Amino acid sequence: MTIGMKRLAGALALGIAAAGVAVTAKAQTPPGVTSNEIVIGLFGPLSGPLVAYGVDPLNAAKMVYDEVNARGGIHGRRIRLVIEDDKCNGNELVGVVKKLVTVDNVFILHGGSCTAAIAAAQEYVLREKVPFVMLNAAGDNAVFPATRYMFGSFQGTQRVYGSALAQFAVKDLKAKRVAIIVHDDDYGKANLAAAKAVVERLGGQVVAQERIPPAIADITAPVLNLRASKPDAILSGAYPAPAVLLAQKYGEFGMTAIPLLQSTQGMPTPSVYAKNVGNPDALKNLYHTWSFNDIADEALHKKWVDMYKKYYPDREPGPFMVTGIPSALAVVDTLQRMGRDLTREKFVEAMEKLNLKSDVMTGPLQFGPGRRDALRSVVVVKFDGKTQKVMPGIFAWNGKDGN
Amino acid sequence: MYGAPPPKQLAALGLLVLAGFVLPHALPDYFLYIGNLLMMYAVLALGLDILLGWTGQFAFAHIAFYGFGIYATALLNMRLGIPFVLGMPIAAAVAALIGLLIALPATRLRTVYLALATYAFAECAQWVFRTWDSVTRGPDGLRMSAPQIFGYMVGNDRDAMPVIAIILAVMLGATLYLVRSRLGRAFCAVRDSEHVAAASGIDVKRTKVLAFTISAFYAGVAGGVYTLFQSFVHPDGLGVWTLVLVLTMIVVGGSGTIGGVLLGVLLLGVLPEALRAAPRGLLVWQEFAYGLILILAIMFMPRGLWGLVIYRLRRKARRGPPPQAVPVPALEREP
Repeated sequence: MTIGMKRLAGALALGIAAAGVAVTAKAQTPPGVTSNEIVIGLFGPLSGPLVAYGVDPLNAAKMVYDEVNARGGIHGRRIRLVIEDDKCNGNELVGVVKKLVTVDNVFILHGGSCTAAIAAAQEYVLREKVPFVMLNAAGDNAVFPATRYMFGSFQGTQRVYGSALAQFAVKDLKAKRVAIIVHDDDYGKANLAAAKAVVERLGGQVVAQERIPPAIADITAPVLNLRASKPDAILSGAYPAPAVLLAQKYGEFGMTAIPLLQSTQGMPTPSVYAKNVGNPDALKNLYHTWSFNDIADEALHKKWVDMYKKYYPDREPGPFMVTGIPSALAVVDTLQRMGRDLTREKFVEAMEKLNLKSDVMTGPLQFGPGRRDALRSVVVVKFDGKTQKVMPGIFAWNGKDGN
Repeated sequence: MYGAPPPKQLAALGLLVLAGFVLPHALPDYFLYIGNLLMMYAVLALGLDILLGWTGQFAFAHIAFYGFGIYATALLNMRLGIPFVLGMPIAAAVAALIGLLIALPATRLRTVYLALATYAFAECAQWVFRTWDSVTRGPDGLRMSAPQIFGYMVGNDRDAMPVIAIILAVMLGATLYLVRSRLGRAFCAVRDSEHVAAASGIDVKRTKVLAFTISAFYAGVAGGVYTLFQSFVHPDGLGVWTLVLVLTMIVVGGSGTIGGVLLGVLLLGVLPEALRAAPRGLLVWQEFAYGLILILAIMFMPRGLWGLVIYRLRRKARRGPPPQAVPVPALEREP
């Protein structure tokens, strides 16, 4: 071997060694983490027909991160957000997720207000092993069955709402005959399955099940079917517009002696719901589920609204604002528990140990090795059109009913 | 415009396929995903344009055939183990067959009545996708297995892009030949005047039925393409929003022209991605911007952007180069 060749071989060996060191160094630094920064991809519907579910919750989540940064960050690292619009559309959301992971190199994904759109990205997230914390989507499909990298349902799933209403109807209102009306979509399917399972487990009987399209314009026939079944209580999983139609017909057909129990999604703003129903009689026997402590605790509600106005002085927070808070609190809590040694796998392991008792929520936010739905306890609220009264007790889903 | 397409156009198809093989080695997943999505929309829009732009039939059942294509390709793979190379053509043929069955009564209708009847069919199809739980998994959505091509698993955007580029090239080539064929001319004749077409010896009903069937086949192929780079389908994605998007692509780009459709797909597909860089406060105006683009296109560019581009180019060509000064030989002076 000549001296020139020896030098060349030495240079090559050095080059390979240097490349190896570089690769090792790269492997040790997870994407989106530097010595003073953690990059999080935050997204939701910021345009399109479902914008109401996205803007305020995303602002609220950002507000939580901004507060953390104002206090000096987490273990010396500030949180930097890359914000994107997913329009609550599956194709868009998958594109957003791929952009955040492969172009912006974020550490974790935090976003999504619509379960069906989130479910479209699930396979990619699992393949790329990127933790995905849902912003405020409340459908069951993204968290059942549980998958390693997806965490969500911070305000409860439809299983939780259906179960809570059924427990309240049978145990507290002593209903024996229960009628259920839900939509013919994934929300309705999960809500109905859980409610039916609980009613039957507690010795009641489901005497009518009506499945209606979300865009229903005339709800007369389903309501007449409910009335014909002579129920002791009616459980509803309807969305805001059909929930108003339901209450109007319920009042019009003189059914107000039968308690009407509505899942959270049907009346995000009770005062608006009451105004739209327009018939005080229809609200005499009305109850609804709720996942937040803001009704029982005025001061708490004011605290979050004031904080929101501090960051967004030109914007009045909408009814969904509070839904963006718990998932951000969960991310912050997890990062704090992890210390400075951050990897995506360690984030997943730390998230699995989440047990956050936040003042915002009606129950603890918890995950586990086989559990990816955070909130399983909600309260039931009686609403007479003017005032809201939280009924005694917390109503928890047992993790089995409706599975 | 008869006969084989010009070699330049066929060469462009070759370049498309080449790009499909080269780009996956150069771009991150995000750009590959957008590329795959655009190519799928191109197949979908080309099919709708055969009916809408070339034959002049305002029919809106296209999204239903697209849905049949997705579910059939995915279910043939998952339930019967039929590979993509067989499953996709079968699914497209099923979509075409349903298109044929729909065409038989639909071709008796015209204008707004045809639009309403076909839209109602699309709604019915979406209802079937939503409620036929045992087959489509209904409102839970269907998680699709990664398709196999000759034993090779297509599990991500990188693997899917070459295959999708080949499929788009084939569909583009087929469209180029179709519009230059006798049938393609018959489509145009029916669009321009059914009476004149009939007087010229064209079987109008048969031509319309063929347009419906071929259009549905394209939608079925687009559905098959969807299964190559997506892993989940939900009935919500097969509604009016997707239909409006594809319609806008055709109208803004230029209906009845292949170049216009491709331009519309590119513009409406890339615009939202370009808008990601826009300030957050402006994002909520996107729908307004799309609506405005559509209205302006209809008002000022009835032939779409493509028509405008062609018009400008032709006008420039008619004017020709500016006249050259003719050299005048110098007069010989008498000594």
